[in-house]
Amino acid sequence: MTSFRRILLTFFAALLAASLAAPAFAANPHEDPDKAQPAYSAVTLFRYYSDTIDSILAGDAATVTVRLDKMVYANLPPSIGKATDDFVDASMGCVSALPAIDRDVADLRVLLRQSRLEEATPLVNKLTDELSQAYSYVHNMEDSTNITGAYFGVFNEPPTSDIRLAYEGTLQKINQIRSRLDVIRDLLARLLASTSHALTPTDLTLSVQPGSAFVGDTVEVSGTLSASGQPLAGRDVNILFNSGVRGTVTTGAGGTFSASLTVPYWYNPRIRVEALYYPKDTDDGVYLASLSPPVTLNVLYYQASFSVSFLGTAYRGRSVTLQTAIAYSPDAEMVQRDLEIYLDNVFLAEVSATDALTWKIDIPADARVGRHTVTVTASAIGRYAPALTDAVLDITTAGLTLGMKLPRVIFVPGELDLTGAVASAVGPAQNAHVKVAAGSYTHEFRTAQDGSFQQRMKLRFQFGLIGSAYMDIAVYPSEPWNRPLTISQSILVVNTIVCGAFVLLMLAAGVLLPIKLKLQPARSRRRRLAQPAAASPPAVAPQYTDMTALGAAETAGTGSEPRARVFSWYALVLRLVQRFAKVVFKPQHTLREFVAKTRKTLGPLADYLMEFTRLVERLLYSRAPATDADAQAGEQLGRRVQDGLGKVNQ
Amino acid sequence: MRTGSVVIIALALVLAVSALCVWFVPSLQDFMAGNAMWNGVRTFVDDSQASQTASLGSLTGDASGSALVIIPYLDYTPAELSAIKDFLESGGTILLADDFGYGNHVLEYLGVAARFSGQPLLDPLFCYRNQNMPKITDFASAQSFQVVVLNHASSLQNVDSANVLAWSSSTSFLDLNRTEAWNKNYPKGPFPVAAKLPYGEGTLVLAADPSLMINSMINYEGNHAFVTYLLGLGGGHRSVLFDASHLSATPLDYTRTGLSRVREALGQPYSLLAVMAAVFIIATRWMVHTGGSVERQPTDL
Repeated sequence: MTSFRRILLTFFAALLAASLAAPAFAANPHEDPDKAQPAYSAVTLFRYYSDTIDSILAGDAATVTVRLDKMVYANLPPSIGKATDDFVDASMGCVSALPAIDRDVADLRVLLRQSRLEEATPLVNKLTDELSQAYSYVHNMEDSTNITGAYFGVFNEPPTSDIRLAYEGTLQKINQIRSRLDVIRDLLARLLASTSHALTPTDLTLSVQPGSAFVGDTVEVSGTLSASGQPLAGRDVNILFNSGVRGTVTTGAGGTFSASLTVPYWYNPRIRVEALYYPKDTDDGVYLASLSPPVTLNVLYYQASFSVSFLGTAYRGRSVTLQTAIAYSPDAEMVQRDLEIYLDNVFLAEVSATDALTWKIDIPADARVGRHTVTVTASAIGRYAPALTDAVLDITTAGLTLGMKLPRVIFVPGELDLTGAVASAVGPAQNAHVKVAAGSYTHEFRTAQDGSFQQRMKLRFQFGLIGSAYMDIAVYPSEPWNRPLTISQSILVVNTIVCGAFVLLMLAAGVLLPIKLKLQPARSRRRRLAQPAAASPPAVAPQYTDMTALGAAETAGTGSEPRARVFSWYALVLRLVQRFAKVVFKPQHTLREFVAKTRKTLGPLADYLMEFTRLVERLLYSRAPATDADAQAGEQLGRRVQDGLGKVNQ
Repeated sequence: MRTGSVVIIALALVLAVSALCVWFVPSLQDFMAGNAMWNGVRTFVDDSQASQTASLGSLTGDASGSALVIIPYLDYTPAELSAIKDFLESGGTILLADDFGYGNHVLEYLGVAARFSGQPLLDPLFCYRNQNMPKITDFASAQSFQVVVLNHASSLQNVDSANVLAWSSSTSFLDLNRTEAWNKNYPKGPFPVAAKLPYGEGTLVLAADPSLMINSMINYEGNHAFVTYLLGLGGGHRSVLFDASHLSATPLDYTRTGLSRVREALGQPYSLLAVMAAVFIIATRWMVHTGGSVERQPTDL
């Protein structure tokens, strides 16, 4: 392997090692999630369960729901997935069952205290079912915890270990729920036992006159209370409107009662009226409570209807006109109403109007584009019911239009004229931020107050000859009601400098090539002349024997001109040297170059050859005529070289 | 051929091949935008069409509408800190995502009270695969994402609860001694992991883990939407910049950066002219040299 190859190999090895080894030296700010080893924490899971049960016991249903909803994100072994789901379901059941049981127990206490056994009986049945269901939930929680504990091997852990303590803690919390249910179950049994003796039933009748009345009007309520056919005088009877106590009246001598009650300003078409008697004081433990059959009271009131519309387009950051018409039933008089206007439940204004309203809504600049709700409400006044209507307001933005002729070709380096204007349906885009990108060139500016712009974009030198690129124009309006605009167009980028240089290079090549080609015929002719008659490859120079060469030279030397003699001897010497040195006199070689190439082989003879070459060059390239002295010198030098080569050969 | 010529040609060849290798061999370093492996941020940079900035000094002009992502794994010079401050004050949004780096130096300079705790945030229950990758499910407001997965994260301190955007779960804790095991003396969650602080005309957004942006994490759960949400907190942004100048770089990365600078320098008009002139001269000399002698030949020979 050569030194060069070794160096090359070492260089690449070092490069590869540097690039591959580098991450190992750095700190570890993360790990590959696809290769991360799973790890589970039973201790944390049991503690999370315990904390959740604390919230169940505290009746904090919201917290429990939030905590259990997050369990889907817990990192747990798939094997205990079902156990976890069961725990979550049971806990959710528990957290909704316990408050319901508490409520029902409280209601049962009231009913039993009032000797309302008829109403209490279905409640007791309901409570029994709820308790049974709650016990089932607790059982499931316990099972799930045991399965999870078995999976994590808690029973093999020391009693004081974290995992064992966390597991036992969860079971203890579950037992707290069970204890609480036990208390409720015992309480229920005691309540039922305390009211098991016989009581006298009572009857209650009720009538309401008139059967229809406007809100605020008065109605007459009357009826009779009796027990086993005997009127009960001096007892309190509650009048209930929609199950709520509206008044209390005392029965007279015949067990009758009567009262005038005002129809509440409840703008509902019907009210359910009932009378309730429950034993108190001396009646407690003697009579049963009774509830009259319900009587329906038809409630009358005037109802308004609104029609809402908008004038114009609702652009973000601008205002839109709201038009509201108010209508009533024919028998109602028109009255002035206080209207409240909301946009997406955000209060905007309160205005008074009788039959119509026109109001300008200022749309916030940061309002989301899309459908919004405008709500118009009117509060109740006497017989006039409250009214509310919603209307959809479609908030939008205006599209920008760019008045500018985009170029198809740009020349670099140079400048690009950017003149035009930006506007929308609302008006000119003032002070809009415009970003122009043409290939790798960018230019940013802002529009004038009338939306116009006149810019020159500088296109500096870059690499490249000619090619296509995209011209992107992005307009970011300052007004919230206009939306950004992006335009993209393909353009041709011509680099004039590089293209010019390229053309120059081509021209230079065009100048040199003809020179080269002009020389070509001469060289070819010389090659043809140098070819031997019987072409015997691979010799370029003709083959001569020493005698033939000598003879030719001496022939030339006897009667020829001195110049011809010199050249004849030099030609002879060249041929001898070519054969001796095995160096071919190539067409592109100068005489001196040939001498230089043969110098190593010729040794001291090269000095004679160089001297002879200088003589020939002088005759070739100067106007000095050849003399006999030159001819003699040439002959002498030729012979010396010839003799020298002969001696070497011998 | 002469020995000198061989050495020069070999050297030129080695340099050319090396430059090509450096240019095309992808970076494997953490958070590098050119790194398409699991620990790079190429996906994030491509998706958000973020442009890299090799120097914070280049942050000039109107920053409004721009968001700059900074992962401060190398310390800052006063000039760089000043550039960050100017960027914020002129209306830009900066997402400073750090866990164990130099984020606090930036916060100290900006004069805000919030800090990165610099302690590993572990969550043994609500996590992806193990406690080093906590799942975040508590957010200040309802968003399109419900879960964000962190990777060897930290937490934030001294942040007003009104500014907090996301919290870790109640089962998370700070591993003060880095034992990766719960200790009753360790601070227990929830901890803030993302916050938004108004600063000047701009917005400073803090995230206690830059790793949620790496290629292997960006598409987990709601990470991508979360990062997009963070970048959009300063208002609709038009451009995203990614600061590549404060990441731990390998020699390969440095070389690539150097090559980029050389390329940029050569792209300047005068450099370009010089190069073209040199090419022209060399080409001409070569053609003259190989095209044969133009002197008159000894036709008599």
